[in-house]
Amino acid sequence: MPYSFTQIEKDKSATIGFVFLFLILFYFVVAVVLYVSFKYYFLVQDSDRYDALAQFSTSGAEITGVLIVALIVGGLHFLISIQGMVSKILAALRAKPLDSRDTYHIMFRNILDEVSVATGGRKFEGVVVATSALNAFAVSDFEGRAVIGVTEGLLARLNRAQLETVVGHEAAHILTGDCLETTVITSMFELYGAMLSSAQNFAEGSRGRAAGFFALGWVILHVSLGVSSLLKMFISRQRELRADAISVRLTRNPLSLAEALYTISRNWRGYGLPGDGLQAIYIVSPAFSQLEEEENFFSDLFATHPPIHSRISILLDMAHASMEQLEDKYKHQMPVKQPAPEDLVPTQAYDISHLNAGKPVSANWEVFHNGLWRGPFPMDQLMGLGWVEFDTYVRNIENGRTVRFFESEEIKKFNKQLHATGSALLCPLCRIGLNEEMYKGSPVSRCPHCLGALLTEDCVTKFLIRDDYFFSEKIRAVGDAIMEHHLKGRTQAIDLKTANLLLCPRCKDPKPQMLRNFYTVAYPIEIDRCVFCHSIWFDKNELDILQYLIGRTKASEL
Amino acid sequence: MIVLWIILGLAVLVLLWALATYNSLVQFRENVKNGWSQIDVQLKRRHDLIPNLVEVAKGYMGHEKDTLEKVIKARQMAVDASGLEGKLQAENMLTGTLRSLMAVAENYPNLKADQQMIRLQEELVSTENKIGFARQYYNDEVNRLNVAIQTFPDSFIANATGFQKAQFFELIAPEERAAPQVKF
Repeated sequence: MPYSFTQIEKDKSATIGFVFLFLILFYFVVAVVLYVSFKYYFLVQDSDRYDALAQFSTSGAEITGVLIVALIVGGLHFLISIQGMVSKILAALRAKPLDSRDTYHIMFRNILDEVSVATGGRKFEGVVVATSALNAFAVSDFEGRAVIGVTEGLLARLNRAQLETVVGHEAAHILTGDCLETTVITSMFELYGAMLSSAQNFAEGSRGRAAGFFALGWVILHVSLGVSSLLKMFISRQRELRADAISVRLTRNPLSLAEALYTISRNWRGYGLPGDGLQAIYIVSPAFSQLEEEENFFSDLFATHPPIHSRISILLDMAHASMEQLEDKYKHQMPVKQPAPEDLVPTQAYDISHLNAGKPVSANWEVFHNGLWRGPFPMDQLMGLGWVEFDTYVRNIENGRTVRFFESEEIKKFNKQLHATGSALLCPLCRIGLNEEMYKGSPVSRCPHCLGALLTEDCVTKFLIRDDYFFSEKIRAVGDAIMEHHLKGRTQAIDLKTANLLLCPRCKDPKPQMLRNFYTVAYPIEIDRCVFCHSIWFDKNELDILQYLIGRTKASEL
Repeated sequence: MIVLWIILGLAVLVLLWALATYNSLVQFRENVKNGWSQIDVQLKRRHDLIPNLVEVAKGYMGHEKDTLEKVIKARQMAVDASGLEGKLQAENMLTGTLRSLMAVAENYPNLKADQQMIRLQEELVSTENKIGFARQYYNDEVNRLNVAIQTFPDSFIANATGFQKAQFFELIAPEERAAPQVKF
């Protein structure tokens, strides 16, 4: 018998009503305690202490007054909390909208649409969190906005079928309405808890007045965390099992969901990230806790998720598979990799239509390469040739003059015109426009001459978790050598006095704003990071070497 | 007098039940219609996608004119097909030709690496999945309607008000069940 949505609709409103009542009760208790202690305090000041105790009593009118105050405060808290709650939660999680040119994001968008079709037409919005952790979540509000979010780690580590079942699971939370419940409950206290704890990290170490605020924040934080764990009573653990079941009904694929849960549970699930306290909205709780993994009265009452192993074994039963088979498959799975694109060919030539204004582009440039004159090429193609260096000889057929690339007035003029609009990014080393190229499914700005690349912080996170490429002998050898050198303690600190600091192509600040440092202490790859927009400049091959080294560490851990 | 009231009360109850049943049957029928229109939307998407796909493939696999032409022909037939039976047959044929196109495309590494082809393949995979899900939703709804129409006592209302069983959207040959597999 298909479950009835009207029935679930009723359940949902009841739960949210209970949360509201709970909130009023909470404020009532707080108000009574405050009122009684204030009254007691003033009575003590007025007269003899023992006398005051004898006079101490509370009338019905006073209680009613306190109740009204509690109702108003509780009501305001409720209204303020549900105001734009989805956006607030997404901001706390640092979730970003999908990039319409990233192939992984396009796949996620398509999967959302597919699941939407499977549910009979409910629409879902998609967001991603740029982290290598593996998790997924759903939030929705009273206006019908429904958002499903995944981490970059999840997009990189799950295959299409597995991702589909995870999206199905989140869609089930939205359809049954328990997503709305968890969103409301989360926005009541936990959201403030998440904000406070990040503020706390920030304020740590401060003294004086800031420390006072810090102490107040500490009290509020712990009260709200305590209350929110009480509110978790309203979140049934069973709803995760139900969402698993509905996901299987939508996608008819219990095995892939079991695999997905197994993969998520075996990896970092996001503990320590902003928003890890909002555990109720995730598919698997970010923090590993004993409470979540047990099945007893207290766990049933306060835990938000059933034990992961029991979820997996229910799904495996449905698929007639065993845990051993699953583990075996996990151990032997090998990602399909392509060679990393080292000899890059630009996928997108310069758009110079505005320069030519209807005139046909004439190919009148020849290039001297490996002892031969090549070409002729039109100007824009010349810019895109990977093997043209700064000091390469070029020849203009029209006037027959041979010059080095960087000496040519025409090329300088062309560059100037090309970037006259100001929207294009310039290479911080070569001062020519960066080309856009696809790298691991995502567009990257790369210099056609020095092959350096400008990446946003999120983009670096994305590339480090994606496993699309294997690297050439050369990259591996250089990487190994760097690490060997580093492990012997021979890596030298960067001398910032002599280092030629770069201009940030994105911020376009006239002063050099990119700080040169190592990627991390463990990986001594020199990078330039903009202090304002945090964009990172990688010189030729550095991005590949970094990925190879991190992949090497991962492989040795397995 | 009391007996009369009881009879009247029962009559009202029966009437209410009949109304509720009728309304739920109408709801089921609307769901089936909605499911069918969803399938239609997705099939149309697939038809729109195929010319682009063939256009890109043409640039790389000039020797496979036959396969490409077959796809185009099958697509045209699917576009022209009318009625559930006709559509079923035409779409199944189209699925078959697409599958053989994808199998042949495996032999062209340059085609597989083409950015536009990668994008189109993702769209095709997604559309095939959507067709599958739309069919699944439609069949689920058809099943609900058919069960409701035939089970006692709802069947009374269904027969009296002229509800008819809906037809499943089924694939003819069992080996056709899998969507064309596109490997990346």
